[in-house]
Amino acid sequence: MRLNEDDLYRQSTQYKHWSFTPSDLTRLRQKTNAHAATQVKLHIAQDRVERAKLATLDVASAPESGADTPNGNGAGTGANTPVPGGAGDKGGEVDCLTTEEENMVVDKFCETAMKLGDFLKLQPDVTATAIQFMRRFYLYNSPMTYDGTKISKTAFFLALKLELGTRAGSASDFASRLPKTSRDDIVAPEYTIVQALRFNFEVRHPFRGLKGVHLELEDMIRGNYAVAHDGRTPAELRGEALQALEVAEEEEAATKLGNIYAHTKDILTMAAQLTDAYFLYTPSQILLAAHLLASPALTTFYLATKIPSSSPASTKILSTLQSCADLLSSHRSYSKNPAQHKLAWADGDPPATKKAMKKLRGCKDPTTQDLVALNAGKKRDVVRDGTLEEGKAKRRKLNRETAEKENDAFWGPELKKEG
Amino acid sequence: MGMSPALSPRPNPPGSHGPVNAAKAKPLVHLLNHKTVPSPSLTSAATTPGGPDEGLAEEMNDVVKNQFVFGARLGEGTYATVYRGHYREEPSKLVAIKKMKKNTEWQDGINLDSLREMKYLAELHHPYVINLIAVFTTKDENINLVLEHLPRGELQDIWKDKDIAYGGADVKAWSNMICQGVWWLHENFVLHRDIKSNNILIAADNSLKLADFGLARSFANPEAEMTYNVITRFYRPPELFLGSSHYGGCVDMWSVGCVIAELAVRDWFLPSETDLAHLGVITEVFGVPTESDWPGISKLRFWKEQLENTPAKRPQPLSWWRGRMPLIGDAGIDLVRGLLTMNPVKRLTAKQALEHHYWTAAPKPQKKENLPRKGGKEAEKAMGESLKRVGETEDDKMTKIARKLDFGAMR
Repeated sequence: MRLNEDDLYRQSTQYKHWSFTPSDLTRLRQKTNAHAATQVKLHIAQDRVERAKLATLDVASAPESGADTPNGNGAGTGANTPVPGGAGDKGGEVDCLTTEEENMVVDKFCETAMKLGDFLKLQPDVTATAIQFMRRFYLYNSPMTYDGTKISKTAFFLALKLELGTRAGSASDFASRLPKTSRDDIVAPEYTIVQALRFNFEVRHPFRGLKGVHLELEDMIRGNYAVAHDGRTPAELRGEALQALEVAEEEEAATKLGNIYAHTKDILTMAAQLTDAYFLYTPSQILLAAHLLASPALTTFYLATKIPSSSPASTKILSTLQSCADLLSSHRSYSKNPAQHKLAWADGDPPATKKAMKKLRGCKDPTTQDLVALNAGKKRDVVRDGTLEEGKAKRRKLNRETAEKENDAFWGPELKKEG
Repeated sequence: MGMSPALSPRPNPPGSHGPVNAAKAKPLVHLLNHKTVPSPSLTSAATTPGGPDEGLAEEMNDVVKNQFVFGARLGEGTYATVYRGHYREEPSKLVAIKKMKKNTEWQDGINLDSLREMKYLAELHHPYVINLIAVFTTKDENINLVLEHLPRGELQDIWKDKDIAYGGADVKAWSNMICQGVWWLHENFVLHRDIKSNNILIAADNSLKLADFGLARSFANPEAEMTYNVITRFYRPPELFLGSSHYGGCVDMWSVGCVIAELAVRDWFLPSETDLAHLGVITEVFGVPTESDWPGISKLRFWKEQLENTPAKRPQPLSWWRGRMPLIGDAGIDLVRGLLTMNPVKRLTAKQALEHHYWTAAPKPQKKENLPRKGGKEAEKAMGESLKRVGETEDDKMTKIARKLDFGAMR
């Protein structure tokens, strides 16, 4: 049985479930957006009715003087439920995000996640997997429904578990590294996320092939590469490689190759993560497109060692690579001369993104903001009634604590964390 | 016999509150077939799908969930309960549904074994690897794995059951299916890391299926450090006992060698009482490896304490093997010895194993339909029982406690 990499890739869930044509991708996002907007409007309306009721109750049961208390918008009651637009909710038509605005918001979430990964000094694999989980998640869910900050924390923990196994550490350890975050915040949204991920956890990252490409290029430069399909000798390949790099010496070539490697890696760990590249192209296409941006001459040379440049496939491949390269270079993280501080570009947001983020505040679904409460087994109740069933919550908490105690009786209590 | 191959070296499930010695459930039956899991219909008009409270992800989940019907409970373990199930549209098409327990997953969310099993089985589809048909959640947020129904028990049952007679042709057919399955894993850069005869299940058509991917991991990144505390002891290769933390498919191939040897001798091949004693058991058969037959061995983490002062020992001669494994002949012995080569670099890879002359030597491998097997009812019972298997010895308890305390253990 002969297998090639294409056959293997076509077996992957990334190919089967997470590859789209541009129009399919747009349609899916429109569908998600339309659905979420309906929900948001419905739930905000229900929320307002609920608030109005509470306000009336408050007025009715308040002491005499209370009757004078201005309580027009009900912002002072039911403080547990996030209010769209907060105290400023004028009760008018809810202005939901458009698909384009949602895209900007999701991109912003992912940029923030990238900064978080950088701050926590996580391996590039973990950060990239977490970001792709978020991008996949927001194909089927709207940022109006689920808050990006909350989702990103859980996406990171899930990526940690999947990439590092038992070295991932515990959820509480991870929570302690994040500001104002409890273990529950980390664990609660997990089911919502894995469901949207369709239980697919393998992400095929283009940067995983980069090292291999460069080992081959190094061999070519040293004159040790002998498997060119067209019968070119190692010496000829060496000459052409040096020419593509515009250098005469192997030593110079090695330095230049190192720079190209670093630049390609930057594009793959930033622009490739923050655009739709993974949805629209295969890992090898993304890898070669990034390489094309870092060094067009060397990449064209490298491709020709695999497929003759005269072959019709070669033209087709190059045009696909070029369109992918255009997508990557359109991202604002892309720079021809990588800066020292790699995430400097993310310090400010474009005006349109700022505007969308601001608009988001007024159109969040009030029923899905408290993910911990949603997860505590009261999902349906919360969604249907907009209120929490406290009795049920308490009972569950009690059961949990009893179970933990029983566990501790055998194992001894959990070790106290230092600091 | 009274000896058990020891539990897989995996830590307790986080937050498991059940009885201490309850066995981990076994994956039973298992392809995330994209045909059965359609994307939310892109073509349908963009009106509100599902109920008013359902998102697109929930709608997608419901489509999957509604394809299956739960049937009788087959077994229960610490991690999961397994049910017989069938397709709603085709009640005669059986599946097994493994419902992951939620309470065991509390501390750190969904446990690693389940995540790994879903991750790798969703990517790997092969006739000799257990098929994951679908995954869905039920409203209490339990994750359910729909696996293929494998009603004929485990490979281990076959050699243990002295009422079943089998010959060289049968061993050859089984061994070949195992090698093909493992080859597929390795082509996909996945290590199983717990291959043993009770993780190999038997389908209705007598195909063997590699199962239990709870310890699987990818080995695409050669720089990644991996744990050496993995693979059930009887099937664990020498380099892991010596503390090697960078390895590839070779670790699984040693286990494959052990399984084939087990079939050939109808007994455990390398049984031992403890992890510490096991390297002694290995060297008893294969001799004490030296720098000359295994360059670099003295640089391995535990070489000094484990082997440095061990007196030299020669491996058992061919006559010893002929005496023990007449069932598989010289060609089979050559394959087994190739798989059980101490030096992992010289050990046969899955591809090399499939190119071995054993497969073309006489006798021909048995036809699948003629392979010996357990009777229908008895075997289905075995499927349920395999799930309930409990490690109840004191030794196991201690091992589990040790694992619980071994915070640094990696996998």
